[in-house]
Amino acid sequence: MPAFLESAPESLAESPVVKSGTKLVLVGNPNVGKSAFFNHFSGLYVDVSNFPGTTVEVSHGVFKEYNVYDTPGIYGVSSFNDEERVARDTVLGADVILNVVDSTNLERDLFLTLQLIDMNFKMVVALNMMDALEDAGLEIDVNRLSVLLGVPIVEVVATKRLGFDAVEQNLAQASVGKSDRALQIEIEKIASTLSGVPNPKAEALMVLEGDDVVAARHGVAPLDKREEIYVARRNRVNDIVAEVYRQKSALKIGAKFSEALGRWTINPITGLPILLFSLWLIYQVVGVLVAQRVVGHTEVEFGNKRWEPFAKHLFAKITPVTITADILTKDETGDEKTLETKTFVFPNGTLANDAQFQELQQFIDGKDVLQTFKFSQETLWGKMVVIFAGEFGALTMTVTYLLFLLLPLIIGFYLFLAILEDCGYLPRLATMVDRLLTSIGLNGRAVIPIILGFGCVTMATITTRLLQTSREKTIAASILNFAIPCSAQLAVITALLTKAGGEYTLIFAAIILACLVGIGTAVDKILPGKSSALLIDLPPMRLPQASNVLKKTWIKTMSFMKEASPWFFFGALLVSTMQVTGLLEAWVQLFEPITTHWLALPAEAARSFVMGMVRRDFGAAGLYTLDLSPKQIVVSLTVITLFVPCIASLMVLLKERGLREAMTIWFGSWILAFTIGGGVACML
Amino acid sequence: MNILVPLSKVKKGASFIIRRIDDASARTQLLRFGVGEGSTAVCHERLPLGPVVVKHRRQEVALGRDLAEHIWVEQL
Ligand SMILES: Nc1nc2c(ncn2[C@@H]2O[C@H](COP(=O)(O)OP(=O)(O)OP(=O)(O)O)[C@@H](O)[C@H]2O)c(=O)[nH]1
Ligand SMILES: [Mg+2]
Repeated sequence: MPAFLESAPESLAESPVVKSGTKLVLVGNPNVGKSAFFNHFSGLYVDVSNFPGTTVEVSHGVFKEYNVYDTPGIYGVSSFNDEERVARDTVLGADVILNVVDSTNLERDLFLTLQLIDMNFKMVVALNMMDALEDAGLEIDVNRLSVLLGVPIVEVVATKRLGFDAVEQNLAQASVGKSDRALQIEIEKIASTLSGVPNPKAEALMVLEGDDVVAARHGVAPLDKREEIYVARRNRVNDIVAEVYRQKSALKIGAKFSEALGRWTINPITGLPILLFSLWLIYQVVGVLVAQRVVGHTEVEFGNKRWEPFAKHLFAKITPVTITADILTKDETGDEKTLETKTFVFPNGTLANDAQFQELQQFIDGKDVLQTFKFSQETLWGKMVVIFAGEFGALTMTVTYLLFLLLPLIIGFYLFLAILEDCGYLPRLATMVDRLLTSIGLNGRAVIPIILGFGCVTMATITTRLLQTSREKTIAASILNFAIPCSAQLAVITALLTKAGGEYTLIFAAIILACLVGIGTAVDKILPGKSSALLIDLPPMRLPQASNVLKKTWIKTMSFMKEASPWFFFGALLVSTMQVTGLLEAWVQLFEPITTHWLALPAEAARSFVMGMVRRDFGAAGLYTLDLSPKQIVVSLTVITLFVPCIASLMVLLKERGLREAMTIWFGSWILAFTIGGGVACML
Repeated sequence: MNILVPLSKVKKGASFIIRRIDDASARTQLLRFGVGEGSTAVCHERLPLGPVVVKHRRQEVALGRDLAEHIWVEQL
C-alpha cells in the first residue's frame, strides 16, 4: 500500500504488537460502544458514532499486557457479510473476549453472547449503556444474569467512562460460560478432529453452523445445523431475558422525546422538513458564515496580505523582481478599493538596492496593502523561485489554499458530519429515503456512505463495505466517485456558489442530483442481478456528545490536512513547473476549443483541470481565483465535480473495487464531465 | 389458524405475531435481531410504498418493502 494511504484515519489506530501479550478482542453487536471501549483502553482514537456499521476494519492497540482489537459490529460469528468476514478471524484467534452488550437490548445482544459462550471462549461481559437503561425505567438483575451465563459481568457507561476499572479487574477472571450440554457434546466430536487452531471448539461450532469458509479451511464439509442451533439459542436467550429484566418505572421524559423525534425523522411528512432544515442550517453555517465571513477574511488578510508577501520577500532578497504595491481602502459597503499604486523594480533583488527597498517599506508601512511580485524568469534560479513562490507557488498558493481557504471550511463540515453521525439520524434518513434509492438499485443503507462521501470520498468508498451485495457496492462507489463532491471541494463550491447566488445554487444542485440519479440508474441497468432489500436496526436518537464530536472533528481535520497537504504541494509543483516550462500554456491552448468554445469558460480554466487530476478540491480551489460570471461558475463547478476522483480515491477504488471498475470510473469521468458541462453551457 | 397477511399490509400501530419468513437469509438475520417466527411485534411506522418499521421490545428494525411482502404475520 502506498505510504499516504497508511496515514488514513482507521489505520492511525495501530500500535506495535506486544509479543506474548494476551489477545483481547472486543466483540459485540453493531453500535453498542465497542469503539468507545477501544479508545479508552488503547489511548488511540477510532470512530465512535451512532449508526450500525461505523467500524469496518479491525484496529489494534496495546493496553498493559494485552493486545487489544476493535472489531466491526456483528450479530453473530459467521460469514454472511463483509463485517462478519472481517471480524470472524480476529474473533476466532482471541485469547480473551470482552463482549460489549447494550443493556437496553438484551434480547438482541445476548444471542451473540451465547454463541461466544457456546464457542468456549474465556470472556467478560460488559453491560454498556446503563444510563440509557435507567432512562428506559428498566432494571437488570446482574447477579442472576452472571449466574445464568457463567461469566463475569460488569456494568458500564462507556461514554462517561464509568466502570472501566471494574472491567480491567475482571479481565483476569475471564471464564468460559455455561453452554448447552447437548450442543457441547456435538462440538467436542468435531473439535477433536480439528487441529492447529487456538480454539478448536469455536471452529467446530462454526462448522456445525454451516460456515463454508471455516469448514473449507479444515478440509471438512460444513454441516447443516444452523437453523436448529439458532432457534434453540434464541429460546435460551428469551428465557434468560425473561428472568433478568424488570420494568421499574415508566419511560423518562428524555427517552420519550427521543422516541418521538425518532418517529418524526422517518415519516416523510415531518421527516422532509427536518431534512431540509438540517441542510439549510449546514448551508447557513458552512456556506454563509464560514465560507463568506471567515474564509473571505482569512484568505485575503492572512494568505494574500501576510503569508504570501512574507514568503515572496524572502526570495526577492536575491532574485530580480518587480513589486507592485496597491494601497487599499474599504468604502462604506465594506468593498476594497485601490487608492494608490506604485511599482518598484529590483533588477538584482531587494538586498542589492537598499535605498529603494526602504522606499517600498515606507510606502506600505502601516497601510492596507496588496503586493504583487513578478519574478524574472531569465535564469534557472528565477524559474525555481517561480515554482516555489510564484503565482502557483508550492510555498505561497498551497499554504493559502490549505490553511486559509480549506482549513476553516473543513472544520465546519466535519463538525456537522460528526453531529449527524452521533445523533442517530443517519439510519432513520436511510429508512426515509429507501424508496427513492431502490429506484437506482440501492437500498436506504447506501445513504450512509453517500453522506459520509461529502466528508471524504476516499473514506466513504471504504464504508461501502456496509452494503450487502457487490452490486450495491459498485453502484455506490460509482456514484461517490463520479458525482459526490468531498467536503474540501464542496466547501470551495459553496463559497463560489454564494458568489453566484441562490438560483444558481439550485441549478447546480439539480444538475448534480440528476447526474447522480442518471449514473445510479445506468449502472443498475447494466449490472445483472437484484439488489437486497433494506434491513437495518434503528438506534435511539441521542444528544451528540460534545467531547466526541470535537475530538472526531479534530482527528478528521488533522488527518485530512496530513493526507491532502503533500498532494497540494505536489500539484502546485506540477502546475508551476508546467508554467515555467511553457507546458501550462500549451495545455491551456490544447484545451482552448473545449474550455472557451464548448464550455464558454476563460481559457485559464484549463489549469484547474490539471490541478483537478491531482485532487478535485485543488482544482476547485483553482477556479476560486478566476473571475467568473454566475453562469460560468455553474458550468465550471459541474465539470470539476464530475471530474476524475483524486489520486487517493483512485487508490482506494483500485483496492476495494478492482482495476476494471476503477479505470472505467476514471476515464468515464473525463467524458461525463465535459459532456454534461458542455450541455449545461449550451442550455444556460 | 388465523388468516396470514404480508407485513407490508399491516396498519401502523397494530400488533402481530410473525408466522412465516419466506426469505432464508432474512430469517437468520432477523432471528439474530431477536425477531423470529413466533415473536410478537408492533408496526411502528410505515412509509407510503416504502419500508415498514417494526418494533420488538426496545428494538426498532426497518424492513424494505420487498422484504415486508415476504413476511407473513397474524394480526392481533
Ligand atoms: N448513552 C450512552 N451512549 C453510549 C454509551 N456507550 C456508547 N454510546 C454511544 O453509542 C454509539 C455507538 O458507539 P460506538 O463506540 O461507535 O459503537 P461500536 O460498537 O463501535 O459500533 P460499530 O462500530 O458500528 O459496530 C455512540 O453514539 C456512542 O456515543 C453509553 O454507555 N451510554
Ligand atoms: Mg466501532
